[in-house]
Amino acid sequence: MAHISDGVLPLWMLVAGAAITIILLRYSLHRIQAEEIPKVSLVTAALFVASLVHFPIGPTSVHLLMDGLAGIMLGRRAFAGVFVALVLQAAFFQHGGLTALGVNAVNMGLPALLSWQIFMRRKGFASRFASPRNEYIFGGIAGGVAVILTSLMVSAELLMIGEGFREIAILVLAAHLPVALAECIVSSAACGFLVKTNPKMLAGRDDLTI
Amino acid sequence: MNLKTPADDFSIIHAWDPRARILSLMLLIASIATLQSINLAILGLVVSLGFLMVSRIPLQHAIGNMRWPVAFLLPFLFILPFSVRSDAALSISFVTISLRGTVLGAMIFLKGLAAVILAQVMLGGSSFTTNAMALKDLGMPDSLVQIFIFSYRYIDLLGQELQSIFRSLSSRGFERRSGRRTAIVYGNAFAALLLRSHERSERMLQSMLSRGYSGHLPHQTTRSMELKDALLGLMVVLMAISLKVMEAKV
Repeated sequence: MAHISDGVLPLWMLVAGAAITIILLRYSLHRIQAEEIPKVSLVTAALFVASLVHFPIGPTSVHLLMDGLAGIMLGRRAFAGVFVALVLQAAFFQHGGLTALGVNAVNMGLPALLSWQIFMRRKGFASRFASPRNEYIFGGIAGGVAVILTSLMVSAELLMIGEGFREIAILVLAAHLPVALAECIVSSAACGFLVKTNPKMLAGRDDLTI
Repeated sequence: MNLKTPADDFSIIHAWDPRARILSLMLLIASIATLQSINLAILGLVVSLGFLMVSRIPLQHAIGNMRWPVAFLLPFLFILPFSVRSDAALSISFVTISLRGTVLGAMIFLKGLAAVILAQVMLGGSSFTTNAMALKDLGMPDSLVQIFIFSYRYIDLLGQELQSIFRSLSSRGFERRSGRRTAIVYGNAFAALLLRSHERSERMLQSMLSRGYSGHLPHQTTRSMELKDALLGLMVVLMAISLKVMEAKV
């Protein structure tokens, strides 16, 4: 329920979401180099594919959001990656409205940028508490926090429409708690895998151009 | 994944210039999505069904694509009648159904459906790449359009790779269950996919550089906008404005 459909949000919120998205897209694509474009594209495609996989939770299953892992992999380019993934989801599956694209991009792209910043903090932490497990810990925190922040933002937007939307806002928040837990473990495992196989792929290394 | 929707025959929507189609239908979608009257929301749905008929996109195909938006919109239809406070429409024991909530829920649901139908008409008239190039012509940054096109190009391939990773895991006894173990296996599988996609992106860049890639899309000659494209676009924009004018008068 993180992808808001058309017809739900008021005009002022759609306009504000679109304006913030344009600003963040400019920030995200600032000075992008030719050699970065294939990497951003393929990582975006991989995360898009991963977000389509069903994750079993109890008797049902959920789709993971993958915005945290997008921030960890793409750094500041994550917002552009999230935006592209949302357009693809809206175009191919009608998952998330086209007019709500700006708001949805903010809801998922801002947490992706926050995840990148959380994951970057592992370097300062590592200098004090050197541990080979830092990527696991910070990857997990970044992945989980991104989902919680996304659901909080969606809930807050629904609450802003009117008091009658309180129950739906609570439903959105409750539905994302197990997703946050699952995504925390998935992101942690993915970061652990990548730090062993190709640590250069993770955002926050010294020679990072993006 | 193919964005171009299966039409029974080539329609006026498919022949329409993608730039005019995207710009004008996007305005109509925005106009319908922000309506605040149930009667006009019904009119919006009728208009969108009219466009669907004109586009000759099979109704079954359009309905098949509504699974996700309906899943999102249904809670509004069923929860708002109970959560919005207003004069009761119906009171049974301790349950009170609000008239305002029922109308609000129905209005959101109808507007959502109308927008989804129009989105399919807007994007289904041409391939994803043609639509992306139209967005570039409308002012979308070149780098962003390239990310769109490259991501779309590799989604099917990476999807097949992820399927093969999961097939390989299944053959070694992995079963999807709710729990930490499954989440760790998923994380490793996704990381393996990311690793492969990263390696593929490096090969792709080398291949592109060897063919003269400099970070920009090659200039493609887009068809020139004809008078009928502009007139059709103007007609749709007038529809969008008319809905807003009617809303102001209600």
